[in-house]
Parts: sequence; structure tokens; C-alpha cells
Amino acid sequence: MRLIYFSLKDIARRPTENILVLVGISFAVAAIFILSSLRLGITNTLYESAVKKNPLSQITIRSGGSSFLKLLESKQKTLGESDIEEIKKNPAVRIIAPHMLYQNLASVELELMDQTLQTDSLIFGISKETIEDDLPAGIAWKDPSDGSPVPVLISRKLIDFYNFSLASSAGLPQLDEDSFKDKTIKILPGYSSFFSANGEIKKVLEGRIVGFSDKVDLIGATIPIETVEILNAEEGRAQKSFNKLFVTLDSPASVDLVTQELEEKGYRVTSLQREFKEVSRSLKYVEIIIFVLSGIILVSSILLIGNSIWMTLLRRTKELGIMRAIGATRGSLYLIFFIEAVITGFIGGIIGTLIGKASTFIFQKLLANQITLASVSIEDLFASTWSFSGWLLLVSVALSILASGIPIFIICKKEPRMLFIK
Amino acid sequence: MLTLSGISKNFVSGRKKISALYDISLKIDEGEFVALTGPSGSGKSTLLHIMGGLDKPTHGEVVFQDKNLQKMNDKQLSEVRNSSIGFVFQDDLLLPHFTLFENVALPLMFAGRRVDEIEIKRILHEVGLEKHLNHKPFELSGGQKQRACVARAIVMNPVLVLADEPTGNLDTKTGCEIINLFKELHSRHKMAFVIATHDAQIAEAAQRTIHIIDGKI
Repeated sequence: MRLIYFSLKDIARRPTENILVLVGISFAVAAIFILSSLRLGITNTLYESAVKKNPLSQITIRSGGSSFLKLLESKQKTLGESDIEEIKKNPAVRIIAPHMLYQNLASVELELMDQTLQTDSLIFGISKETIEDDLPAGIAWKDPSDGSPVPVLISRKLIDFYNFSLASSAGLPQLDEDSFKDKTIKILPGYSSFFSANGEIKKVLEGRIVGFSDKVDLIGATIPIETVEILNAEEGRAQKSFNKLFVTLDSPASVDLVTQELEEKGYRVTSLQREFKEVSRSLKYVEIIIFVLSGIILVSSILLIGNSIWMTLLRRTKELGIMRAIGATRGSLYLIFFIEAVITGFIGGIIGTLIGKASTFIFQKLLANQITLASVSIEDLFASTWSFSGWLLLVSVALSILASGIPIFIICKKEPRMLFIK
Repeated sequence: MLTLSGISKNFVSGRKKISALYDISLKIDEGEFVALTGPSGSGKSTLLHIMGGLDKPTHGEVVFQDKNLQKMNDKQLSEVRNSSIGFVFQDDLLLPHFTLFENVALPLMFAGRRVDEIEIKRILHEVGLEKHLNHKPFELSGGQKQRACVARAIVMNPVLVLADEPTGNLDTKTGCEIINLFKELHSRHKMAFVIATHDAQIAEAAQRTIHIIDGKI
């Protein structure tokens, strides 16, 4: 207790030097906090975005092979009813929701910003199981037999993509979900607005944008699968031919095994877990950069703080000499400065974490939605956890001990007499 | 109580070897009052530091209370300096951020002993500083600071007090007061005093004078 009292007195008597050390520690901690929060924020956003798209227990089977070579070998292969029957045999499979592409050129037309916009578009058909969570109450996801508009879903990310990739650079007004909600949309199957000279509008299918989803394709309009089946059939295309099957398994733990089994049968399987592993692999580079930057910050701080403490100690060698002369062991001097370093590191760590937290809050406000990575706009650019803050506090204390420990060790190692010689 | 046998001390300054002490042998008995005199640079301070275990001799041995100081580790040596030897230096070496009371109590803190407030006040009274116990060193005169150093040197009731030019930075009147204080303490506590000095008055007051020139006695 007396040594703690001694250390506190020692800290209090040198406010300027300690403030400088505290500033050094705080800024190092704040910089590491910001860098690490950035890494966690990006990882979380990509993960959440992926989870929104596909649940962890879902795999996607695409037409074609399981590798580029297999894709070449079996590029004609399509997914059909027999594949659904085959996949259903696996006991871990719970739901199979097919995804179908309208296999011809198509355009859509809608009124937007008092303009009639006509553009070529892909038309996708998906079954209700895939998107039922995103459907507003009372909306039936099926082909309307009574001539009412076809329900249409568009990707939520398409609005973000338009706002940040097109509108911002072209000076166009920003759009939100309300700009599209309940809008009437005209689907023009078999007609291309780009190649209009070569064709004419044969059919107009009236649709209504009923909602938004993260599970539908980014570019294009998504409608009930039955409607796409009818359109394909009307044009004599292969019926019941799917380009994707969304397969929900009994649990996320089954994903790896089922993926392996289906790949062995020649299916091309993707899963969120696998995608996430790939994203994590890419993020490793970001992590390495952050690790190196944090290392540079730490080493620079240790050198700067160590130098400041070294200068302080050089001015105080006589005091250390007195303490040695009146009975202080090297150990008790180490302990006094160790306590000082722990206190300084702890306070610096708290201040640094608060600075880091405040800075990330400001950066978040300034940069949210301004950054796009892998077509995902990073809304929560920074993220931190309490346990990380705790670790950072330990890093801060360790930094302080390391920075002050070396000069203290060198000075205290001297014979007491040497401490009286400036 | 303290025996020095064949003590030599060499320093290295750049490529030059400087011999500060040559083959010094002496004895200090319990309760003795010894003056160590000699011109500046003669080796008085070096000898005093070796006597007190603040420095190690290049050759020879120092036996204090039947124990060889060279064979002690840092902890044992610190314990001897803490409990059995008191130091007074030329400069008033007090810790500036501590009060007089705290400065005097420091050896007790390093010994891990309880700080007896009454005892500290008694010692401060003995050196004439009872009214200043809550003052910081910068609030005191040179003489008062040196008295405080004396109080700190005797607080553990050591058997030996080593003083290195204790009046060197004081005016004549204050120097006399400090010499009188040493005399009083010597007669009251029966501690041995070894005082390195240029001051003829101290040399006169001492029971024995050891004269040192160019590192030899």
C-alpha cells in the first residue's frame, strides 16, 4: 500500500511528463481501437449481409459442374425435377426452393422521378419459401390467375447500388424504398429496349413492386416462379428447368457434409459458410495490414514513451541514489515504477478507448454508406466489443510496462554510487 | 564494527585507468566519532561509499559487523544500508514531493515497518524541525534540509552514520549548528560517525582523524 502511495505521489508530482506519456499511450490505444473496430465492422457487415441473403443452414445448387472444368464438361446440364427428387433423398434436406430464369431477353418499364424509364432486365422466378420472410402481410406470392398485377420483388441492395454508384456520380436524386414501393411496373417479355429496332412488344405483363429483399438477385425483377414457368412455356422453352435450387438443411452443421455429397454427384454447390470462408480469406490481407500498422504504432509508442521516461529518469538519478542509500532494493524500485506504469497504462487505456470510440462514432457518421466492398455497402463501418476493449486495456498496460520497464531496468541496474553521478 | 582490508578502487575513464584508492586498511569501532579529511579528489567520498556498501572495491574486503559486504546480494546489502547505516550527503538530498515527515519515514517504508508517528516527531524534535513536519523541502532553508537528512539517517537507529561533506554547502554558522547536532547525537545515541570533511572544526571535534591524500592514508 505504501509503495502504491509512493507511486501515486510520484505520478502527481510530474504532471507534464505524465500527461505526455498518457497522450502517447492514449493515441496508440485509440489508433489500434479504430483499426481493429474497422476490421470487425467490415467483417460483421459482410457476414450479416451474407446471412441476410442466405441462412447459415442453406446451400445453393447451381446448374453446371462443381468446378470450372466440370462446368465446361457439363455446361449443357440443367437442373430439373429429377434433380430435386435426387437431392430430396438426403435426410438432412428440409426444403428445396427452385429459382428459374426467364430464358429470353426482356425489358421493364416504370415511372420514376416523373420519367418513364425503360431498360433491359433479367426476370427471375422464385418460390415462396425463399422470400416469404420479406413479403408484406396479405401479399400472395403466386401467378395471378385473375389478371391482377404480378407481385414483383426487387433487391434492397439495388437501391443502394443506384444511389452510391450511379446517382452520386451523375448528380441524380437519391432514391429510397418509398420511391419504388407499390409502383406499377410493366414487364415486356421477349422485347429488348436496346435492340428494339429488331423486335416489337409482343406482350405486356403488368406487375406491382410489393417489397424488397436481400435474397433476390441484385440486377433484375423477381416474380413468382409459376409466372416465369408460364412465360418460358409460352415461348417453347424447356419446362421445369431451374438455374438454382435453394436447399435448406436441418442445421448449419450439416452444410459441409451435404455439400461434399452433392459435389461428388456432380452438382455445383455454394454455401454461405463457404463464401464466408472465402471472404474471411480475403479479409486476412486487411487483417495483416491492420496487424502491421498496429505493430508500427505500438513500437513507435514504446520508443517515444520509453524515451520520455528515460529523460525523466536521467533527471532523477540522484533521487534513485538516495532511495538506494536508505535501503530501497532494486526490486522495490522496479515495483514502484511498475505500479506507476500500470496506473499510467490503465488510465491511458481508458482515455485511448474513449478517444477511439468517439472517433469511430464520428467517422461512422461521416462515412456510413459511402464505402462499398464486394458490392455490399458498409453501413456499420466500425464495430467493437467489450471484451476487445478489455484486451486493449491490457495492451495499454503492457505497452506502458514495456516502455518504462527497459529504461528503469537500465537505470536501476547501476551501482547506487553511480546514481549520484550525473 | 567496520574493517576495511587492502581496499583499492580503480575507475576507467575512456581508455584511462584512474586509481582512486590504494591499499587502504582501517577499522572503525562502535560509537567512534571519526573525521575523514583530505583535499578534494583525494578519495574521501569513494572510501565512504565503499564503507557504506554503495560501491564495491576493486580489491580488498569490507567487513561490517562480521559480515563481508562483497559477499552480500543486493537485497542483503540494501537491508544493511536500511537498518544499520545512515547516510548524510553534501547536497540536501530529500525527495522534493514528499513532506519532511514522509522523507524521514522513507527508510521505515523500505524496511516494511509500521511508521510510528510519535517516534518520527521525536526525531524531528531532536534535530529541531518539529514545527516543519508537514513542510516540503523547498519550503526549508539549507540548514533545515540538512537537519532533515540527519533525521532520516538516524530514524532506523543505525550503528554507523556516514556523512559526506555535510557542511560543504552551508554557511559557517549553519555548518557549526550541524556539527553541534552531530556531537549531540553522538553523545546521546552512541552511534559511530564517519564524517568526510574539509572542515577543521569537525576534525577537531572528532575522536580520531584519518587523513587521506591521493587515495592513501
